[in-house]
Amino acid sequence: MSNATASTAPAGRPSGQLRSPIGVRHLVRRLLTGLIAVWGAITIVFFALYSSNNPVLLLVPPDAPPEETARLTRLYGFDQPVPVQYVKFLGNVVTGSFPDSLRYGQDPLTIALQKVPASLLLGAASLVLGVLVGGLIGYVAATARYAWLRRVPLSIATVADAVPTFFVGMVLILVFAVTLRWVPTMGRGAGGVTGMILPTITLAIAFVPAISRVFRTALLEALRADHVRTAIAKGVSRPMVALRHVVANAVGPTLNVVGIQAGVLLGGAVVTESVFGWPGIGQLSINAVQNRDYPLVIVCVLIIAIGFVLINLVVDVLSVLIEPRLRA
Amino acid sequence: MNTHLRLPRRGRFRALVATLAVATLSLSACGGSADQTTSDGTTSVSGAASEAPTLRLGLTRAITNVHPHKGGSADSQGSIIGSIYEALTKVTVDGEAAPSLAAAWEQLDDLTWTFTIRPDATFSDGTPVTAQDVAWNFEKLLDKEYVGTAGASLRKFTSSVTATSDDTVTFSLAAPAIDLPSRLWNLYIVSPAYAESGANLDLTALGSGPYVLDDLDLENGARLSANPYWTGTRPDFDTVDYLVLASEAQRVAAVQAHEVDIVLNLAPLSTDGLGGDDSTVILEQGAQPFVLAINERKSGSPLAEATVRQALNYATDKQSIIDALLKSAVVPLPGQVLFEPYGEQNPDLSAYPYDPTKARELLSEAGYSDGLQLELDVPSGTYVAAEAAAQAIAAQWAEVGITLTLTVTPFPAWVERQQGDDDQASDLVYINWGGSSPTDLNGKLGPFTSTHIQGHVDAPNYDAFYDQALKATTWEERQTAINEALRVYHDEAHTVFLYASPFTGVVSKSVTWEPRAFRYLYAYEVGRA
Repeated sequence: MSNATASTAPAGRPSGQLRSPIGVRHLVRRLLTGLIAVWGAITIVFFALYSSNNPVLLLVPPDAPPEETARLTRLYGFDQPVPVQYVKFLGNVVTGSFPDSLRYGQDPLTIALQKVPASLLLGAASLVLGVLVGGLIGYVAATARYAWLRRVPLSIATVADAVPTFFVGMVLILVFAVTLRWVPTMGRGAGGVTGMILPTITLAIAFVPAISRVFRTALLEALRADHVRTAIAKGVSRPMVALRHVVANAVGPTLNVVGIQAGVLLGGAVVTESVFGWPGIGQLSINAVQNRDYPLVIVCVLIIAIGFVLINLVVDVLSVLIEPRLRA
Repeated sequence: MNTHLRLPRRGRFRALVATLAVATLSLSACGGSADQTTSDGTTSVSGAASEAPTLRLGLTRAITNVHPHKGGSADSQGSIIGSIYEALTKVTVDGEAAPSLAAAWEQLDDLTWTFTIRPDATFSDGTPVTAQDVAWNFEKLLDKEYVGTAGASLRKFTSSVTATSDDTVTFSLAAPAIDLPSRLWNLYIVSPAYAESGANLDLTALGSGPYVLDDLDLENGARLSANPYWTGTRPDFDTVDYLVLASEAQRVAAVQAHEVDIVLNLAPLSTDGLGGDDSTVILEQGAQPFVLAINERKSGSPLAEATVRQALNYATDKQSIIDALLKSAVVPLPGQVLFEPYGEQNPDLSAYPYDPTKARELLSEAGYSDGLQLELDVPSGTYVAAEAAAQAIAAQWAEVGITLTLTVTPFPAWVERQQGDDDQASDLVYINWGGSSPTDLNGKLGPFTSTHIQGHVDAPNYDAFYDQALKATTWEERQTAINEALRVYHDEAHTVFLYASPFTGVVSKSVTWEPRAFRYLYAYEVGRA
């Protein structure tokens, strides 16, 4: 066996060494690209924020004299030219030490990191639910015997894609919290653990349409493949054909879509977190923007961007492991 | 080619059951049981309000901080801070200054006051509150470089605050302040030892009030528990949850689902269908005035002319807006920003009547017979029915030839724009101003001065009378100055007088609470029914 492997190994690879499923160079390249994306994101947000008005105006009481505003402006360094503040800001990013949050009065990185677990919990639960429901709809749409069964669930998912998340959330609250009183209206902070159910469903509904459509398409493509017809002709049992030859080959493309969805787990739940009062980084970042808490906004964007890059990197690696053809 | 893979029916059924089982297990693992308690100790709220062991109070704005020296809105941290800390005085439900941390006070002369500290006052760590502790707090507030901004107004009239004995502090004023006790109600006293230990007072607290802060999430709320060292009347509830319900939809849903015991600031029209066997709806006149603040200082603005400003007042049909949008719960302002019973109203003034003919005449007299164009800035999601009211005003003004463009902006951007220079600010601003007690002159009349941070009027006569009222040495002298200030503001029409703010809310019948029109929702004032 080892001889056979050696005989087919590319030139330059020592004899007997197995090829890594994913190259180190590929990983480094993806990481560097990710870093550039992170830098771009925080730079855009920095200039968008700092080119607007003085955030200190929101900190002073209404009857404060102008000197009080000027004093706080100096205290927080907002009187310096924007390029100077940007250079300082980049230094802060590199060293990981940011100016205190205007609202919390402490290190914004600590504040934002404390919110990450809640967002990940909600995002992961929603993604699991979205994958299960989306996969089921996609599978039924591709394989069902009856035309209505192939079309109706997928059509519902497509319509759901067009409904705004906040509207879905409010309808769920109205039905399940207000009318039926099965679950609380608010998220984890006020509603106990049952408060997680509605936000999870709301966010999952956003995942379902894309997953179901891509999984259906991938299944149909796999079903047309020659090897599937051959396997059936050879008498392989249909469950085995479905599992090993059809579903397995449809997972790769679907995983890419799941990866994109997973990438927005940290920052994509802003609306859901706000509607349900879910104490995650999405809610934190939108409130930070509304309160002009610039240091906290920047740190939230930084964490969300890094999370996006890392999650996509993991998905890339998983995709290659599951679908070796993607290595090319 | 048939691309549909047919699996045996039994296999398909098993696959479906398995899928549903996995989904259920996944959710169960994440969600847990309805009766469980979360890691942070928060219990389920699915029970009826009357069975709840914890008092649940709704806040209508996210919490900014719980710093005792940074002030705070009644609709947000102001209610929390007032439950944790004590100031020298407090404001009663009737709006009068009453003893709090100070058991008594005395005015020695126009510029000197003494306050005697309550002998049993104790911080929530068990240490007694001394006059030195109080003086330390005021020393900080009077320091221009101090981070606590609540001292900004104090510094205008106070020279020093010193401890003259173990239980007495003496205020030396730079200008007379006959209502000094009313001006101190929200300058809270924190333990100096705690503050100097490096504690972050934005997020943590150590005061001498009826409650202590157990948990704080600025975005979602706070949990308080009874202060074991509190020597006053013990509050009915040992634990309190303040819940941030920032949107109207969240407030209504929380009421309908019985998840809060008291929530305020509902739009009057939203109260339809609320209340009943288990809760009471509050729909009353509030304590603060709604006006359209005028920018008189914008370059070339027609609003610099008093006749144009008077025309705007005549062109506004306040009563129809009140009837249509505010369920007739309030009355038009009586041609002034103070009104009974919440302020020292000038009895000689009355509301501008709705008279579009008079408005057109005044505009013509001012040279605007062809009409004029103005912009009105409205904060989104801040005031009840604000956008609808603004649209109604625009329609009314169109009848006299005024084209009113509405700009609806989020609250922070709205505030920023007003605090900018005159030419950057809008022509008009839909705003709700007002103090926190009937005698809070700084809060009630201060926002209408020419020097106010958000003001753009040019009213030197009003400013002078306002200053006289602040420095008056007798109540008669003060009322005379207030009357003159209000008369000037009315005659020169420095604002468009609209109506009193509505005071709305829903209170569970499982609790008792005497409504405060100034909207502070102190936990210790809520009892069990």
